[in-house]
Amino acid sequence: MPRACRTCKIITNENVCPVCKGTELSDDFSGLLVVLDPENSLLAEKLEAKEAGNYALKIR
Amino acid sequence: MSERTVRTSLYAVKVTNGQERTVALMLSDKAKVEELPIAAILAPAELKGYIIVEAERPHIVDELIRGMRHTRERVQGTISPDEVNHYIETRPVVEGLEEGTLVEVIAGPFKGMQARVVRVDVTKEEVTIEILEAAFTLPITVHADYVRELKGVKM
Repeated sequence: MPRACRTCKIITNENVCPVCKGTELSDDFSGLLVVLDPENSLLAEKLEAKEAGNYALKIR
Repeated sequence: MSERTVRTSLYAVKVTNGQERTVALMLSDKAKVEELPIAAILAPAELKGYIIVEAERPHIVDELIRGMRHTRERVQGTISPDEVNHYIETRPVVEGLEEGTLVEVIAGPFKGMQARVVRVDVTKEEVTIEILEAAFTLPITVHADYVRELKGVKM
């Protein structure tokens, strides 16, 4: 079951966020931003995503 | 924040309604496998029938969507980065809501009714409201997404 980290918004199947190592994950999220090239992506910069991966836009 | 070395643009791609998320994931897999220089793919929940692909050149997007299921065509032209800001920048849903604020319930069984906020829980993003139309005081707690502030009205 994928869940999104409330801090960095990355979507993961793990119990711990792979980016910030936080444990506050939520399964109630919507929207998707797939970051493939975080260094050159304007959208990743806006979302402050520094790693490639799938990010949620809205998390409850 | 590091300076971006590649100048990318945002392109809209028409997709089948309801398949935005699936298409975004399929296209990202294709971009990885075929090593296409795609920077990011955006599929906001509010945007029906379109996804936004970030790439350097439009022909890369055309190459990406060629032969893929549920994709229709690339929309001519680019999207201004400012136009996608509201999909990405999330402001707290309880912003502007405080005790006494008059709101309209926009979802759930009380949809369309007016209510008054009696308590705001910022951490849970919940508000406790009292429905004005109810014959007796009935405080109910709902997610702040379910209410919309009625501008200029305070009680």
